[in-house]
Parts: sequence; structure tokens; C-alpha cells
Amino acid sequence: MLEAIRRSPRLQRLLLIGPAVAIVVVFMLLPLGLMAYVSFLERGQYGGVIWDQYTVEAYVGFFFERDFLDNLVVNTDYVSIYLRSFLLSLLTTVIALAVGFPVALYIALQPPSRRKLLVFLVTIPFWTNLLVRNYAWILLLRTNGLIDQWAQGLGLTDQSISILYTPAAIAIGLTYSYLPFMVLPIYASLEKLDFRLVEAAYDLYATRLQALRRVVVPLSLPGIAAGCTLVFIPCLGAYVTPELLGGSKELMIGNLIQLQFGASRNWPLGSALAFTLLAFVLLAMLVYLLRFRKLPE
Amino acid sequence: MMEASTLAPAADAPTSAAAPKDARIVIENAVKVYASAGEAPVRALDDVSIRIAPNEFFTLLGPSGCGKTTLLRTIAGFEQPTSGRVVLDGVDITGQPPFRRPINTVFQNYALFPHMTVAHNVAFGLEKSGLGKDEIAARVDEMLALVHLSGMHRRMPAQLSGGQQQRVALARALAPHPKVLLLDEPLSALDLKLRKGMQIELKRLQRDTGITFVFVTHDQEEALTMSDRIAVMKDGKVLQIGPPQEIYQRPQVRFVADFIGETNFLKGRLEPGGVARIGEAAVPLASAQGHAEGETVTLAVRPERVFLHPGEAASPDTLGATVENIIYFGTDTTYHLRVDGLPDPLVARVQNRDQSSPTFGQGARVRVGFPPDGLSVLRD
Repeated sequence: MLEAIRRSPRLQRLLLIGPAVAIVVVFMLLPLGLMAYVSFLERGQYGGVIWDQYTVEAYVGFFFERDFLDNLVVNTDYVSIYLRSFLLSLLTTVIALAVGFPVALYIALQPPSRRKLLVFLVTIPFWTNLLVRNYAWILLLRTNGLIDQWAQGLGLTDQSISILYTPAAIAIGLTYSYLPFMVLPIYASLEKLDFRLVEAAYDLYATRLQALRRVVVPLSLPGIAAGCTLVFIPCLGAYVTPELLGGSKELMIGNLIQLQFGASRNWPLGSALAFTLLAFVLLAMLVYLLRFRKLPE
Repeated sequence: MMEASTLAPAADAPTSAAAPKDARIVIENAVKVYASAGEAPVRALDDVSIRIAPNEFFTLLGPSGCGKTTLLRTIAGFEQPTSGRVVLDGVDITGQPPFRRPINTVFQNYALFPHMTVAHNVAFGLEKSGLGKDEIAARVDEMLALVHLSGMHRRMPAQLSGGQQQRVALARALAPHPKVLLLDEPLSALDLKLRKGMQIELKRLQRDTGITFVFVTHDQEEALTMSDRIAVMKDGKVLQIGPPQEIYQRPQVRFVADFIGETNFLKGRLEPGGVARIGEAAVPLASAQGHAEGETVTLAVRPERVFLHPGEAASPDTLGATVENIIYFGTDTTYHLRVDGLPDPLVARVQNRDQSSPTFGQGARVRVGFPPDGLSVLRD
């Protein structure tokens, strides 16, 4: 046996790559395949699926619903939830970029010893459970919450303001949760940036802002793109934050899918919704790859 | 914009400095102190005053950590002096940011923008000049031709060799026609042959463009071959300023004599009549300005200025010596000598012109003489 392995480079390659392939198959392809299979099945009466009845009803159900005469009528409910998720994710990404880029730049400009501490501080929220952190935001955002009390105490408003259970609350919660995913990749690319290039730009009559626009931003684009991807895509599938901060009115895709597997007992539709989301995400990744494939490091 | 202040001649200006109206850039009593917690503050610039004339190739020479790069960065505007002024054409520019100063820099690592083509790199400094698109393109062409890189417009910096990147950096810094070009050890990353070529090239560029060059190097040979004037720096201070010949032939400080070229140091006592007593000999001096009679001083003499005479024939201004070691270099021969009555060995270099040039064998007795203008009296 050992002798055979020693003689055959092909067998050696297979053995080396085998574990990695096995992990991808067992933990990625199998569940995904199962989900794809379920999305083409008839739903069971009390949840679950009928394993040998195939139908595309779930995908039809994404856009249409059947009225009493069994005619297909356009149903925009799901599409609008998708649209809201996209807009909220986009908003979150933009805010996270606007807040995260200066933070990353600030960290990158500190002496190396202090950078480590600051990066550590950025990652500190990860040490606490996401659920707990979102509950903390409920305390901050709710009517008569901390923010409301401050606003009234400072005389900014006479009436109590209630941010909780609005899209704004979701955006705030998502930005807070995913900000480190924006800061860290941008910091990684800014850290590699040779700041003598910024001096060269100053020397050639560029003001600070022009140096930022012409030199710093272009050279940290890979980090910015990675950060935006890492914030936007998880936001699309976010579940906990919209569930807790958005209340029951402001559904996002994640909550919708959860609903299908739970209360609605419509596993095929849930799978189809998840698959549609996956398709969009893959499309976004493809655009990213095509756009940034040729950038110099 | 800073208020323009005309420059009054400073009372303590060194006599060798150019007249104020001839000065392109003047550094007045510049001091730069770096203070860091828990450590003694470092004086990177210690009361530096320099006047640089228009169209001059001026070199700041010194070992690493002598403050030459700090001085260059102060002129560029990247560093603010703790005290003192930087004056350009009579206007105080000390507080101006780098992007307001008509001064450009060639950086040690070139600092080319890696995401831009060669042409865009060269055009970068022209974008705010108010030039039209066509004029900028023409200037880029002209600059690339000047540094022999015509047709390289669309290359990326990473596709160029070190020498080519160096030329792009030069073209980029020269394109806006700055009043002063600063060069921070631009040749240190090139191999020897390329470096020699670029030395000649830089000198040509400086003559052709008429721009004032301020060149920083730790390479004494580079400084001697390229400069109109050299300022030798050490520990944040300027030790001596002068043309290469003066720096080499008449060093005023032991460090200058030691740092540039090979030097013999001799102890001597100054005697009446402009004579130095070295061992048994009384050697006439060209100048002993600033030193008192009876003072014991250090004298410097270059090996090629040491005369060797055969034999023992005594004369009052020569010293007896024994040849200890002979090193033949082809163009010249170096003799290591043990001089009677002197503690340190002496090095003499004799050019091998023709068959008649004197040669000495090991252990031979010779007499050593010094020309009056070959001996420099040093300050410590």
C-alpha cells in the first residue's frame, strides 16, 4: 500500500487534496443540493415535504399567488421584501464605508504598537453574543430608551422619539454589527500602503484631499471592495437584527425564509427563496471578480 | 499665501556664502529637535545656515543620521523646523505646506504611483499648473525625451527596471519646472555601473535645465564628482561648506578630512614664521589662520601630497622614514612608512608615470616631505 503511494504521484495528489474536497462536498455541496432538491418538491400539509412529488410551484410562488379561480396573480410581497433587504443592505454598506474608511485610515497612520491595540478594540464586539448586542440596541433605541431620554433631556425634541421597529433601527443595528468587517480589510490594504507615495503627491502640488482621492483610495480599492462585499452579503441574509430591531412589520429576506420553515410550513418556498438569494449573491461576487481581477496590488 | 518678506543680510553670515540677492534658497539657523517620551531629545538639525545660489548643484554630504535628509525634508516642507527659517527667492516659506512650494523631490525609493502609467506619473504635478491637455501631453513627451524614455508612456512602473524607474522619478519631479529640485540619495539603489552613468546624466540635466539641485548623499565620491559646492554634515551640524576641491584639499575639521578620501593625521606644534614642528622637521605652512603660535594642532595631508626622496640626505623640512609595506595599484603605488619620531604610520601614494618614477624597496630608508599647501591645520 505505502509502496504504491510512493510510486504514484497521482495518488499522492489525490490523498493530499482529498480531505479538502471531502469537506467541501460534505459541508457545502450536500446541504446545498438537498436545499435545491427540496425547493422542487410539493409542500407537506403540516410542514416538511412530499419526497416524490416534483413541482416548480415554489419558484412560481415567488412572483405570483393563485386567486380563488386558480389564476396566477402577480404578488409583489416577496419582491418588495427582497427590494427592502437590498436597499437596507446597500444603505448599511454605504454608512459602514463612510464610517469605516476614516477609522481604518486613522489606525493605519498610528505607530505600529498602537495599531495592534486599535485593531483589537475594533474586534471587541465579536467577543459578545450578537443576540445580546442587539438587545442592548433595543434598550438604546426604544421609546424612553437612553437615546430618547438624552434627546429630550438636551431639549432636541419635546415628544418622545421612537426609532425602534423602523427600517432606521435595522440600518443602525446592521451597521453596528458589520462595521468591523468593513474596517479590517480596508485597514489591511492601507497598512500595506507606502505613505511615501502620499508625500510624493503632496510634493507634486496635490492637497490632502486630492492625495486621498488620487493615491490613497485607488491603492486601497481591493480592501474597500472586500469590505463592501463582506458587509453587503451578510446583511442580505441578516436574521437576528431585523427580527429584534425591526419588529414584525419590517421583514428582511432572512426572516422571510425563517417564516417559511416555521410558521408557514412551506419548506419548498423557503428553499426557493434561499436559492434566489444565493443566485443574487453569486451574481454580486461575479461582478466583483470581473471588476477587480486586473487591479495591481 | 505667506507675506513676502525681503531678506536682510544676516549679521553672522559666513563670508564664503553668496550675496543674499544671489541666493535661491536660504536656510537660516534651522533647528529641528525630535523629542520622544523617556528619551533625551535628538537635535537632528543644530543651527544650520546655508545659502544656495540659483543654478547651483549643491550637495549635502554626511554619514547616516547626520541630519542631511531632515534638512532636505525641511526644504521640501515635510518637516517643520523647531526654529529657524527657510527662504525661497527672498520669500519666507517656512510655514507653507509642500504642495504650495515650487520645489519637487526625487525620493530615495522613487515613490512612483504604482497604479498609474509612466505618462500619468509624469503628468501628476502638471495637473494643477493650469496647463491645457495638449500642453501637458507635450511637456510629458519633452520630459520623457529628456530622460531617454521616449515611447514608454503607457508602461506601468512595475514593468520598468530600477534605472528606468529612477528616470521616471526624475522626469516627474522636473516636469513642473520647479525652482529647486531635491534629490534624496536617488542613486543608492542602483548598481555601480548604472550609478556612474546616472551621475553624469544628473549633472547634464542640471546644466540643461538650469534648475537648482540639492542633492543628498553619503557617498563622498559622488559628492566630489557632481557638486558645485558641498556641505559636509555631522550630528545635525554643518562642518564645512565649499567647492569639492576646497573640501578635499583644505579640510578644516578632522571629520571632514577623515570622511572624504584617505588622509594622514599628524601632530605638530605651530612655530613663528608660519612653520609647523612635526617630529624633527620644521615644515612651512601655506596658512595657519585662526591658530595661535605655540599651539599643538592636528595636521592633515593626503597620501598623494606626501613627497618621497631617496636616501638619507638631511634637510630641515623633511623627516626620515623606513618603508614598511608596498602596495602596487598599477596607476600608482602606496607606501606604508614608519616615520622617525612619529607614533603613527604614514601613507604615501606615488604615481607611476614612467620608468623614471622613483621606486622604493621594503625596508628602504627615505625622506618624507610635505608641500606647504598640502598640509591643512584642523579644528577639532
